[in-house]
Amino acid sequence: MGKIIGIDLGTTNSCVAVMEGGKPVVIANTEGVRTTPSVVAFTKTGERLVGEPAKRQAVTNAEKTISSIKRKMGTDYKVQIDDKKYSPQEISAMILQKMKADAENYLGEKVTEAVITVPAYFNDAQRQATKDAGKIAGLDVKRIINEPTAAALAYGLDNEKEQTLQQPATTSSAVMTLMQRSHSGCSTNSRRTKA
Amino acid sequence: MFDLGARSVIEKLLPVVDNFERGLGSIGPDQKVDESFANGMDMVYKQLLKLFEDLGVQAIETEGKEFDPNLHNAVMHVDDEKYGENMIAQEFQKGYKYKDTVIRHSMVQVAN
Repeated sequence: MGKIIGIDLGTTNSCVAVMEGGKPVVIANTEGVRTTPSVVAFTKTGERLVGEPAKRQAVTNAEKTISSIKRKMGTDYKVQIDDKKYSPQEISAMILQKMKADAENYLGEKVTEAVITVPAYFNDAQRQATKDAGKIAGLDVKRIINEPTAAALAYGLDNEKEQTLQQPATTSSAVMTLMQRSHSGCSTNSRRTKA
Repeated sequence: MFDLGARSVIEKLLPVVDNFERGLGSIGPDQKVDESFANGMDMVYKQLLKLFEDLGVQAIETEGKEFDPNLHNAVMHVDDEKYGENMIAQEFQKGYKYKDTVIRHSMVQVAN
Protein backbone atom coordinates (compact mmCIF):
# COMPACT_ATOMS: atom_id res chain seq x y z
CA MET A 1 0.00 0.00 0.00
CA GLY A 2 1.28 3.42 -0.92
CA LYS A 3 1.87 6.21 1.50
CA ILE A 4 -0.76 8.79 2.34
CA ILE A 5 0.39 12.38 2.12
CA GLY A 6 -0.92 15.27 4.18
CA ILE A 7 -1.45 18.52 2.33
CA ASP A 8 -1.96 21.96 3.81
CA LEU A 9 -3.68 23.78 0.95
CA GLY A 10 -3.19 27.34 2.04
CA THR A 11 -4.33 30.71 0.72
CA THR A 12 -0.81 31.99 0.09
CA ASN A 13 1.34 28.92 0.55
CA SER A 14 0.87 25.17 0.50
CA CYS A 15 2.83 22.45 2.21
CA VAL A 16 3.01 18.66 1.97
CA ALA A 17 4.14 16.15 4.59
CA VAL A 18 4.34 12.40 5.04
CA MET A 19 4.67 10.13 8.07
CA GLU A 20 8.11 8.61 8.39
CA GLY A 21 8.95 6.43 11.35
CA GLY A 22 5.90 7.65 13.24
CA LYS A 23 6.76 11.30 12.78
CA PRO A 24 5.51 13.80 10.19
CA VAL A 25 8.19 15.00 7.76
CA VAL A 26 7.69 18.06 5.59
CA ILE A 27 8.66 17.46 1.98
CA ALA A 28 10.64 20.18 0.22
CA ASN A 29 9.60 21.02 -3.35
CA THR A 30 11.82 20.70 -6.43
CA GLU A 31 13.13 24.19 -5.72
CA GLY A 32 14.27 22.99 -2.29
CA VAL A 33 11.78 25.03 -0.27
CA ARG A 34 9.39 23.57 2.31
CA THR A 35 6.43 25.70 1.26
CA THR A 36 5.10 26.24 -2.24
CA PRO A 37 3.29 29.47 -3.16
CA SER A 38 -0.37 28.73 -3.98
CA VAL A 39 -0.03 30.53 -7.28
CA VAL A 40 -0.92 29.26 -10.76
CA ALA A 41 0.00 31.09 -13.95
CA PHE A 42 -0.53 30.66 -17.66
CA THR A 43 2.34 32.22 -19.56
CA LYS A 44 2.14 34.11 -22.83
CA THR A 45 3.55 31.04 -24.52
CA GLY A 46 0.73 28.87 -23.15
CA GLU A 47 2.82 27.12 -20.54
CA ARG A 48 1.33 26.42 -17.12
CA LEU A 49 3.39 27.36 -14.06
CA VAL A 50 2.70 26.46 -10.44
CA GLY A 51 4.44 27.65 -7.28
CA GLU A 52 7.70 29.62 -7.20
CA PRO A 53 8.06 30.21 -10.97
CA ALA A 54 4.44 31.38 -11.17
CA LYS A 55 5.06 33.84 -8.34
CA ARG A 56 8.25 35.14 -9.96
CA GLN A 57 6.45 36.14 -13.13
CA ALA A 58 3.30 37.50 -11.45
CA VAL A 59 4.06 41.21 -11.89
CA THR A 60 4.67 40.90 -15.59
CA ASN A 61 1.68 38.65 -16.30
CA ALA A 62 -0.91 39.78 -13.77
CA GLU A 63 -4.00 38.97 -15.88
CA LYS A 64 -3.05 35.34 -16.24
CA THR A 65 -1.68 34.74 -12.75
CA ILE A 66 -4.08 33.36 -10.17
CA SER A 67 -3.42 33.60 -6.45
CA SER A 68 -5.50 33.22 -3.27
CA ILE A 69 -7.95 30.95 -5.09
CA LYS A 70 -8.78 29.38 -1.73
CA ARG A 71 -10.93 32.43 -0.98
CA LYS A 72 -13.21 31.41 -3.87
CA MET A 73 -13.56 27.76 -2.93
CA GLY A 74 -17.16 26.61 -2.73
CA THR A 75 -18.47 29.46 -4.89
CA ASP A 76 -19.38 29.36 -8.57
CA TYR A 77 -16.67 31.89 -9.39
CA LYS A 78 -14.73 31.17 -12.59
CA VAL A 79 -11.34 32.36 -13.74
CA GLN A 80 -11.23 33.25 -17.41
CA ILE A 81 -7.90 32.60 -19.10
CA ASP A 82 -8.03 33.32 -22.84
CA ASP A 83 -11.10 31.40 -24.01
CA LYS A 84 -11.10 28.87 -21.19
CA LYS A 85 -12.87 29.09 -17.85
CA TYR A 86 -11.50 27.44 -14.73
CA SER A 87 -13.29 26.72 -11.48
CA PRO A 88 -11.56 27.26 -8.12
CA GLN A 89 -11.49 23.45 -7.80
CA GLU A 90 -9.53 23.13 -11.04
CA ILE A 91 -7.02 25.80 -10.05
CA SER A 92 -6.60 24.22 -6.60
CA ALA A 93 -6.14 20.87 -8.32
CA MET A 94 -3.17 22.28 -10.22
CA ILE A 95 -1.57 23.25 -6.92
CA LEU A 96 -2.38 19.82 -5.45
CA GLN A 97 -0.87 18.16 -8.52
CA LYS A 98 2.36 20.01 -7.94
CA MET A 99 2.36 18.99 -4.24
CA LYS A 100 1.65 15.40 -5.27
CA ALA A 101 4.45 15.42 -7.86
CA ASP A 102 6.93 16.81 -5.32
CA ALA A 103 5.93 14.13 -2.81
CA GLU A 104 6.28 11.40 -5.46
CA ASN A 105 9.68 12.78 -6.35
CA TYR A 106 10.76 12.59 -2.71
CA LEU A 107 9.26 9.18 -1.97
CA GLY A 108 10.19 7.61 -5.29
CA GLU A 109 6.76 6.03 -5.63
CA LYS A 110 3.29 6.89 -6.85
CA VAL A 111 1.00 8.66 -4.42
CA THR A 112 -2.75 8.19 -4.76
CA GLU A 113 -4.12 9.04 -1.33
CA ALA A 114 -4.09 12.22 0.69
CA VAL A 115 -5.47 14.07 3.67
CA ILE A 116 -6.13 17.76 3.06
CA THR A 117 -6.64 20.42 5.69
CA VAL A 118 -9.21 23.21 5.53
CA PRO A 119 -9.96 26.13 7.87
CA ALA A 120 -12.30 25.24 10.72
CA TYR A 121 -14.80 27.80 9.44
CA PHE A 122 -15.11 26.17 5.98
CA ASN A 123 -18.72 25.17 5.23
CA ASP A 124 -19.92 22.01 3.49
CA ALA A 125 -19.64 23.50 0.00
CA GLN A 126 -16.08 24.65 0.63
CA ARG A 127 -15.10 21.26 2.03
CA GLN A 128 -16.70 19.48 -0.92
CA ALA A 129 -14.88 21.79 -3.34
CA THR A 130 -11.58 20.93 -1.65
CA LYS A 131 -12.39 17.23 -1.97
CA ASP A 132 -13.22 17.70 -5.64
CA ALA A 133 -9.94 19.52 -6.19
CA GLY A 134 -8.15 16.49 -4.78
CA LYS A 135 -10.10 14.19 -7.07
CA ILE A 136 -9.22 16.27 -10.14
CA ALA A 137 -5.57 16.08 -9.09
CA GLY A 138 -5.79 12.30 -9.05
CA LEU A 139 -5.88 11.96 -5.30
CA ASP A 140 -8.26 9.89 -3.26
CA VAL A 141 -8.99 12.29 -0.39
CA LYS A 142 -9.18 10.08 2.68
CA ARG A 143 -10.15 12.84 5.04
CA ILE A 144 -10.69 16.57 5.15
CA ILE A 145 -9.49 17.79 8.52
CA ASN A 146 -9.59 21.15 10.22
CA GLU A 147 -6.35 23.11 10.23
CA PRO A 148 -6.41 23.71 14.03
CA THR A 149 -7.02 20.00 14.54
CA ALA A 150 -4.06 19.15 12.33
CA ALA A 151 -1.90 21.61 14.22
CA ALA A 152 -3.15 20.20 17.51
CA LEU A 153 -2.33 16.68 16.38
CA ALA A 154 1.15 17.70 15.28
CA TYR A 155 1.76 19.54 18.51
CA GLY A 156 -0.14 17.41 20.95
CA LEU A 157 0.95 13.95 19.82
CA ASP A 158 3.69 13.87 22.37
CA ASN A 159 2.90 16.85 24.48
CA GLU A 160 1.35 16.38 27.88
CA LYS A 161 0.16 19.91 28.59
CA GLU A 162 -3.50 20.17 29.51
CA GLN A 163 -4.31 23.43 27.85
CA THR A 164 -2.54 25.24 25.07
CA LEU A 165 -3.29 28.38 23.16
CA GLN A 166 -1.91 28.18 19.67
CA GLN A 167 -1.51 30.76 16.97
CA PRO A 168 -0.19 29.44 13.68
CA ALA A 169 2.13 31.74 11.74
CA THR A 170 -0.05 32.39 8.72
CA THR A 171 0.19 34.96 5.98
CA SER A 172 -3.43 35.68 5.19
CA SER A 173 -5.57 35.21 8.26
CA ALA A 174 -5.17 34.93 12.00
CA VAL A 175 -6.71 32.07 13.93
CA MET A 176 -6.33 31.47 17.61
CA THR A 177 -7.06 28.01 18.92
CA LEU A 178 -7.50 26.86 22.46
CA MET A 179 -6.59 23.24 22.75
CA GLN A 180 -7.78 21.27 25.74
CA ARG A 181 -6.65 17.83 26.62
CA SER A 182 -8.42 15.52 29.01
CA HIS A 183 -8.48 11.83 29.83
CA SER A 184 -11.27 11.32 27.32
CA GLY A 185 -9.55 13.03 24.42
CA CYS A 186 -8.74 16.38 22.99
CA SER A 187 -10.86 19.34 21.96
CA THR A 188 -10.09 22.49 20.03
CA ASN A 189 -11.89 25.78 19.94
CA SER A 190 -10.94 28.30 17.26
CA ARG A 191 -11.66 31.97 16.72
CA ARG A 192 -10.72 33.82 13.61
CA THR A 193 -9.91 37.45 12.89
CA LYS A 194 -9.66 38.52 9.29
CA ALA A 195 -6.30 40.05 8.49
CA MET B 1 24.17 16.57 0.23
CA PHE B 2 27.62 18.12 0.09
CA ASP B 3 26.55 20.11 -2.95
CA LEU B 4 23.65 21.52 -1.01
CA GLY B 5 25.96 22.47 1.82
CA ALA B 6 28.24 24.40 -0.54
CA ARG B 7 25.17 26.05 -1.98
CA SER B 8 24.10 27.60 1.30
CA VAL B 9 27.58 28.96 1.94
CA ILE B 10 27.83 30.43 -1.56
CA GLU B 11 24.44 32.04 -1.08
CA LYS B 12 25.74 33.90 1.96
CA LEU B 13 28.81 35.10 0.05
CA LEU B 14 26.81 36.64 -2.79
CA PRO B 15 26.07 39.92 -0.97
CA VAL B 16 29.85 40.37 -0.60
CA VAL B 17 30.22 40.19 -4.38
CA ASP B 18 27.30 42.63 -4.73
CA ASN B 19 28.99 45.10 -2.42
CA PHE B 20 32.30 44.80 -4.25
CA GLU B 21 30.44 45.74 -7.42
CA ARG B 22 28.69 48.64 -5.73
CA GLY B 23 31.93 49.87 -4.24
CA LEU B 24 33.89 49.63 -7.47
CA GLY B 25 30.99 51.11 -9.43
CA SER B 26 30.97 54.20 -7.24
CA ILE B 27 34.47 55.19 -8.33
CA GLY B 28 33.81 57.91 -10.88
CA PRO B 29 36.41 59.49 -13.19
CA ASP B 30 36.35 62.79 -11.31
CA GLN B 31 36.66 61.22 -7.89
CA LYS B 32 39.87 61.34 -5.99
CA VAL B 33 40.75 57.77 -5.21
CA ASP B 34 44.14 56.30 -4.56
CA GLU B 35 44.63 54.40 -7.82
CA SER B 36 46.73 51.63 -6.39
CA PHE B 37 44.12 51.10 -3.70
CA ALA B 38 41.32 50.95 -6.28
CA ASN B 39 43.31 48.48 -8.36
CA GLY B 40 43.91 46.37 -5.31
CA MET B 41 40.18 46.27 -4.58
CA ASP B 42 39.49 45.34 -8.17
CA MET B 43 41.99 42.51 -7.98
CA VAL B 44 40.44 41.08 -4.82
CA TYR B 45 37.03 41.29 -6.53
CA LYS B 46 38.35 39.49 -9.62
CA GLN B 47 39.96 36.86 -7.42
CA LEU B 48 36.63 36.21 -5.75
CA LEU B 49 34.90 35.92 -9.12
CA LYS B 50 37.55 33.52 -10.35
CA LEU B 51 37.09 31.39 -7.25
CA PHE B 52 33.34 31.30 -7.84
CA GLU B 53 33.89 30.35 -11.46
CA ASP B 54 36.18 27.48 -10.45
CA LEU B 55 33.55 26.26 -7.99
CA GLY B 56 30.93 26.20 -10.74
CA VAL B 57 29.09 29.38 -9.85
CA GLN B 58 27.87 31.32 -12.85
CA ALA B 59 26.18 34.68 -13.18
CA ILE B 60 22.78 34.50 -14.89
CA GLU B 61 22.65 36.49 -18.10
CA THR B 62 19.90 39.05 -18.40
CA GLU B 63 20.92 41.64 -20.98
CA GLY B 64 18.90 41.23 -24.16
CA LYS B 65 17.44 37.96 -22.91
CA GLU B 66 13.86 36.84 -22.81
CA PHE B 67 12.34 36.65 -19.33
CA ASP B 68 12.36 33.12 -17.90
CA PRO B 69 10.67 32.61 -14.51
CA ASN B 70 13.00 29.68 -13.85
CA LEU B 71 15.99 32.04 -13.83
CA HIS B 72 14.63 35.50 -13.25
CA ASN B 73 12.39 37.12 -10.69
CA ALA B 74 10.24 39.87 -12.15
CA VAL B 75 9.71 42.71 -9.70
CA MET B 76 8.61 45.37 -12.16
CA HIS B 77 6.90 45.67 -15.50
CA VAL B 78 7.32 48.38 -18.13
CA ASP B 79 5.64 49.10 -21.45
CA ASP B 80 8.38 50.17 -23.85
CA GLU B 81 8.39 49.81 -27.63
CA LYS B 82 12.18 49.71 -27.54
CA TYR B 83 12.08 46.17 -26.20
CA GLY B 84 10.47 43.07 -27.60
CA GLU B 85 7.68 41.06 -25.99
CA ASN B 86 8.60 39.55 -22.62
CA MET B 87 12.18 40.83 -22.80
CA ILE B 88 14.28 41.93 -19.84
CA ALA B 89 14.54 45.71 -19.72
CA GLN B 90 16.66 46.18 -16.64
CA GLU B 91 18.49 44.18 -14.04
CA PHE B 92 18.34 45.27 -10.40
CA GLN B 93 20.28 42.46 -8.81
CA LYS B 94 22.52 39.87 -10.39
CA GLY B 95 21.44 36.25 -10.13
CA TYR B 96 23.68 33.22 -9.85
CA LYS B 97 23.56 29.58 -10.81
CA TYR B 98 25.51 26.86 -9.07
CA LYS B 99 26.01 23.82 -11.27
CA ASP B 100 22.46 23.16 -12.47
CA THR B 101 20.57 24.90 -9.71
CA VAL B 102 19.74 28.55 -9.27
CA ILE B 103 21.16 29.97 -6.04
CA ARG B 104 19.65 33.37 -6.50
CA HIS B 105 17.29 34.52 -9.21
CA SER B 106 18.17 37.75 -10.98
CA MET B 107 15.86 40.55 -10.01
CA VAL B 108 14.61 42.16 -13.19
CA GLN B 109 12.21 44.51 -14.87
CA VAL B 110 10.31 42.95 -17.75
CA ALA B 111 9.06 44.80 -20.81
CA ASN B 112 5.69 44.41 -22.56
